[in-house]
Amino acid sequence: MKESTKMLLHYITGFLILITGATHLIANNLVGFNWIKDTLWYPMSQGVFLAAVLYHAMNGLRVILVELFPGSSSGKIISIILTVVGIIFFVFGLYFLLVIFGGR
Amino acid sequence: MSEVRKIKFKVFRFNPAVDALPTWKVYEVEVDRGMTVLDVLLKIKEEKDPSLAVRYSCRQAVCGSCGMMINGKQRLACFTRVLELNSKVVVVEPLNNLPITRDLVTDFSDLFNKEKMVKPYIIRDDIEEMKNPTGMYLQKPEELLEYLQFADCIECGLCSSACPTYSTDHLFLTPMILNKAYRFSVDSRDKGLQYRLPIIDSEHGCWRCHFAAACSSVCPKGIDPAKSIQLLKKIITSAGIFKRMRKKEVQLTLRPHAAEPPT
Repeated sequence: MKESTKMLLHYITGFLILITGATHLIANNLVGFNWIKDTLWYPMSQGVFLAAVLYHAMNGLRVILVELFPGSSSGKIISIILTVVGIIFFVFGLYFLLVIFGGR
Repeated sequence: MSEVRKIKFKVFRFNPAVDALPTWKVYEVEVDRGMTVLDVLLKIKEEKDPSLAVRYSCRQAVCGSCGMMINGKQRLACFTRVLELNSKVVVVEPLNNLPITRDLVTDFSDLFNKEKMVKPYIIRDDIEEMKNPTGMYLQKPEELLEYLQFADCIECGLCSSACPTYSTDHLFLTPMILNKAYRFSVDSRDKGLQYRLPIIDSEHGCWRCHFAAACSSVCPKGIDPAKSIQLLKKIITSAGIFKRMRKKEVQLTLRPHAAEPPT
C-alpha cells in the first residue's frame, strides 16, 4: 500500500472515530437519545469505531516508530508487527461486541 | 555615526579528523554598525585565528553557503547584522541535523543526494521534443505564479537544519527537497510527477512532515516550505483519487517504481 493511501485512511478513520464516538456518547449520556441503542446502526457503529480506532492507533504508532527507527527494512518489520497486533485486538474486540450485542 | 561595540563571539570548534570532542573558543571583537556575522568571522580568521573554518561565497544571501546556528537559530551569517542581534555574547555553531566537516562547515552530501532523487528539473512527456527542442516551453503569467515563491530557494539548508523530523529520521527527504519537488511538479511545463511519486510518496517522503513549520520560520528568502509540503500532499492525494493532476490532465500510472524519465 502506498504511503498516501495509508495516510488518507488515517484521516478518514479519524473522521469516523469522531462520528461513531459521538454516537456512543450521545446514546449513553443524553436524555432522550436512548432509542439509538435499540437501532441496528448502534452495534454497527461500534464495530466501525473499533476498526477505525485500531487502524488510526496502529498507523499513528507506525509513523512514530518509522521516524524513531529509520532504515530500509525496519519500516516493513514495524508494519508487519503492528498489523498482526491490530488484527489480534480487532478479533478480540469483535468477539466482545458480538457477546454484548449478539443476543439482540 | 559610528557605533563600535565590543562583543564576545563564542565559536564552536571541532575537527573530526583530530579532535575527540568539540570545544568552544571565545573571541572579543570590535563590531561596527552594519557588520555581519560573516564579516566578524572573517575578521577573527584574519586577525586572531586563521585555523577557523567557515564556508562562504557571495556575501549577499544568494549562494546559501554560510548557513549556521547564530544564537541558537538557523541564519545566514552574511545576512545577519551583529548589532541587530542585540546580544553581548553571540554564539556561533554549525547547522543542526547535518554532519560537521570542520568547525562551522557542515556536509550537504545527504541533501544533494536526496535532491537528485526527486529529479529537480523539467521533465516532458514528449521525448523527441526534449532531445531536439524546436522552441521554447511557453507559460502564462498565472501559471508562473503557481510556483514562483517556491522557486526562490537558494538551497542554504536552513529549513532542513530546523526540521524536527529530520533530526530523528535521517531518511526524511527534508523541507528543502520536498519544496523543490513541489516547485517542479506544479510547473505547467513539467509532466514528471509520476517519476517523482515513488520517492516523495514513500515511507520517508512528504507524509512524515507534521507541519511544525520550523522550516518556514527560518527561511532567509521568505519561502514557506511547510506550505509547499502540504500542497504536495494535496496533489499526491488528488492524483491518487482522480488519477489526474489538477488542470494538467496528466494521467498517472501510480506504480511503486515508475520507469526512468526520458533523458
